[in-house]
Amino acid sequence: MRGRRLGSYAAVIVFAVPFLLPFYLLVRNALMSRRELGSLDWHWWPETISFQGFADAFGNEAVPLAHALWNSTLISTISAPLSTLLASMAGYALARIPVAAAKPVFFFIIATMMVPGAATFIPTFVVVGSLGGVNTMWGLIAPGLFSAFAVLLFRGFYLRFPRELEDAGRVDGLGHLGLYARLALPNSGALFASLGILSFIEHWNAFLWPLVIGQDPEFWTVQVALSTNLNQQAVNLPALFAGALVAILPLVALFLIAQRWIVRGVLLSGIKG
Amino acid sequence: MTTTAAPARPGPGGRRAARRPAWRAFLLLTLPMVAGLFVFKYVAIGWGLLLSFNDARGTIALGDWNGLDNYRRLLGDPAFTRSLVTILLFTLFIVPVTFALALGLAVLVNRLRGGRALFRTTFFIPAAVSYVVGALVWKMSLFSGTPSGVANSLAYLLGYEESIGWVATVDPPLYWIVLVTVRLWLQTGFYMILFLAGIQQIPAQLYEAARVDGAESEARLFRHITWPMLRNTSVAVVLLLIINAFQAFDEFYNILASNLSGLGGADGRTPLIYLFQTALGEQNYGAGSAGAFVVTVLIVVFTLLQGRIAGFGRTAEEES
Amino acid sequence: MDRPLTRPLTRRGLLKGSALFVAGAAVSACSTGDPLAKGGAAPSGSAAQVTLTHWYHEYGEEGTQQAAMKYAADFTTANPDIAVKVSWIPGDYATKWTAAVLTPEGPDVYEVNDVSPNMVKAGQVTPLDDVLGAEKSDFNAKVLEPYTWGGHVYAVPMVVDPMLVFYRKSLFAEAGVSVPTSFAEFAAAAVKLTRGKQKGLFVGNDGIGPLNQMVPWSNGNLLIDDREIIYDDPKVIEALSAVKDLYDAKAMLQGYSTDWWDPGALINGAAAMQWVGMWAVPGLTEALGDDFDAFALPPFGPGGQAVVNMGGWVQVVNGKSRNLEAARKYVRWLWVQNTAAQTDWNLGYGFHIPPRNSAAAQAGKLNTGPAKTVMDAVAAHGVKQPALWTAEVRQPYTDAVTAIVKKGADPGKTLAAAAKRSQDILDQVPVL
Repeated sequence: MRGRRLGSYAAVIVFAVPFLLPFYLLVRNALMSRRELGSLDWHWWPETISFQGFADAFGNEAVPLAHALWNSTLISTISAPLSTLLASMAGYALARIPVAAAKPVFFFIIATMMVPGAATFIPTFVVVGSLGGVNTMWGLIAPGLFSAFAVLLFRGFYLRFPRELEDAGRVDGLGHLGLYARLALPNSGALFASLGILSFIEHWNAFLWPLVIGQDPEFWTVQVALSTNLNQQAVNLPALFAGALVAILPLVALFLIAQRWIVRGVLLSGIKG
Repeated sequence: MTTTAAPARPGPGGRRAARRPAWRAFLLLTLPMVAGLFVFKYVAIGWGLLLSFNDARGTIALGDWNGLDNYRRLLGDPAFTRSLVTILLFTLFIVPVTFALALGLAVLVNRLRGGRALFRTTFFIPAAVSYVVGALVWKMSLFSGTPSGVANSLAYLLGYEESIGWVATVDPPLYWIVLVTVRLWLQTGFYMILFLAGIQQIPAQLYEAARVDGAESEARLFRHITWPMLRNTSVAVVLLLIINAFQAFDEFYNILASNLSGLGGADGRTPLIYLFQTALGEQNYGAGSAGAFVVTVLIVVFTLLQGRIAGFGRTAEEES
Repeated sequence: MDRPLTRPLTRRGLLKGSALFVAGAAVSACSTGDPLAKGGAAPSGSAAQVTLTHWYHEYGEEGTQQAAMKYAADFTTANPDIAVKVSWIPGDYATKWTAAVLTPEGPDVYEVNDVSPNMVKAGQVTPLDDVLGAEKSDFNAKVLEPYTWGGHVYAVPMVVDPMLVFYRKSLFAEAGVSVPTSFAEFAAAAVKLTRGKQKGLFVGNDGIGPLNQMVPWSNGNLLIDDREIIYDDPKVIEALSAVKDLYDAKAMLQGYSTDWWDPGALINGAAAMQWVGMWAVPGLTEALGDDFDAFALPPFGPGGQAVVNMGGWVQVVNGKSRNLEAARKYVRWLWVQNTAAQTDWNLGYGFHIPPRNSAAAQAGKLNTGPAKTVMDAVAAHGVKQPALWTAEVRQPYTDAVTAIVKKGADPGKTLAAAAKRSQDILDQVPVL
């Protein structure tokens, strides 16, 4: 029994090493000097720790990294709560407001789940482009605000919402909107947090859509900026890795702090019915 | 809409009063979502479909109808059919490997007494990293073509002195190692979490009962209890893996881009890379829309098929 | 024109936001209050009635971005009613401008390598005959030709970039290699120069790079002849088979941290020869002193021709620009009249050939050292890529070359199939 346990630990450690290796490389490369990283020989750790990479990453006029971080922050902090709120509103209405249109509206919404998001980037570009959304903040944000899947999850949640609570609210004179705003929404915090955080991660890491719609450096997100760094004429390697390190820090921190919510969100979105 | 509301009219006054606000509330709460999906899904797909029947070079406006020309061009283009084969091969590779690794890690982590949270976090944390950053580390450090790249340094230690251009070597297709491992690193943790949750929901009594019946070895317990009990999780994981693999773009784009136009060559061109190249690289939005439609149909058909097969499986199981 | 970043809060920006978002007002307010915004790119300009946007791809040489911004500022000083906002676009420039010009907010003035008939038809460019004006005859006719459709010129050349093979003289001497005079000698030199961690030749991270076109050119086949695809040809097969042998010889650097347009591999000793443009000369001189020189890709064999690829960038005006007149005025001021700026742009950073013959003749910096070697090679062997060899037309060809060189596909069959596709695509290009 004991031997087997030791074996398990040995196995997870063997697997953990390659999972952690890229993080080590990010840190090592970001702290190296340009010359040392460009050399043809392997070095375990920088001879002298250099922060020049960070200075270069933020000092590069051609790729405005600081501004890209700001854009990503703006997009994610708007998109995450807003998309979750929109889904919760629709989910509540579909679950709790008995009108004849509920069923067709429900089907109208969930039918879009079958259509993969990334595969339709050209049609979406055509529409957003025609509405003048190329190189605009709304063009970057708007198409990502509507998640049929989140609606489905919220609807399921509100269907199980205790009727007594609602009745009590009704006695207090609340209409449907009041019931939603005063009772349902405040009581769906856990789901809201899980899906909101997941949505934040998704928007922070999104690449294809921002690449397609935000052409002007003013509208680059951090992922587009990093990709541009990678394809630049003369790649400054330490700056490249320093920028990447800065770009993943917020999410790594979020993962370490809010892992419970993230895992919940993963479970909810992983097991679709 | 008025017809559905009509029956309420002759009813008692109280009910009538309750109905109207119900309508208003329903409309208010669902309208943003419905309108958004209408514009960005329904209109987009409809418009894209119309555009796919147009000669739309350098424009996204309708007007120059050319029938099925775009579809003919697309299906006659070996590069497009090859991109479908490419993604199929990639899917055939990445899905079972991720599945096995995620399941294996979940079983391993679940067996740990102490430090379970630590290791779970270790395997899960790459999910926080974007594909762009993953691609960047893989291309410029892990598998870079210079002698100081990690893979080349390792090869050097093993006595292989020639430094290898991992990303550029297509025969043998070494670039697949780069593409598959980066996705493995990025996504395995996510699916491990799903499996871990599935395993933890299996009642412990089942294992005890099996042990009483003489099933001692871990392998047998896994085969007779864990695996069958994870069936639903497995189906969901496979479906998610396939759909995600089919839409691969980010790491292919960032790892294989090798010139100023930022587009890789014939190898490792996925359908989405092909479409990106057609629409934004060559400015042929008609052919691009046609391709988007074909790819979308493929995924939808697949999803329906998969749902049906899994659905059949489930009912058969319930009956037995 | 409405860029919340560079201007105080505008009404339109606000409306645009609030129409879509609950948090609309907050969005615009936030984005204008952006503490991290990079400054400088935009004119602080106040009196300007018109703001032009001007897109450049990223030139790799230090100082070019500042120079571009200075020219724009100088123009505004001379024309206070027109401000110019310079956008500097690194990375995947081609897809960025193509998407941007589809919309009314696209750049007014931008630079490209090719002008295709499709671009003309879609109104992404506009005739610039009057912009060139009387000075037209002073421009290199060979360079103007591919941008001329239906008798109109649609572009003003900004830089002419000769591309050819650069090499380290010391490494040649060490290995006992002399400048090759045929492709066979060139390939042999690459093999001989490969030793230890140093490779003989660097042409691109994929191991083929521009050789896919240059070697057939050097064998006397330009791949396309006006509206006819001609690359399904024994000369091309012969050339590509030789490229394959070179590729198989493992004498070429692949997967380096920078690509062929950056001289890094040559400077760091990762390769002894490299295909790169004349723009790299100042950087090479700074790093290597006089330990480098250049030569045209040698003739493939008897009956072939030596090749220097004449690339470059040209300025076009977006046909859908709302400020067409201002944009034309700006382009004429900068790339036709302002010879000082042209000379600075072509010679102050990396080296390029000024497109105006009179300016090129006076370019003293191009009369010494390796730059002179390049200029002589250009005069003797300069080849300009045919106009209709567009991204769409050449894609089947590039795929075919990859299959032939890297995977040993049958050259004859592969090229024949690709040529058919290229021809189909070419046939759909409108005649102007």
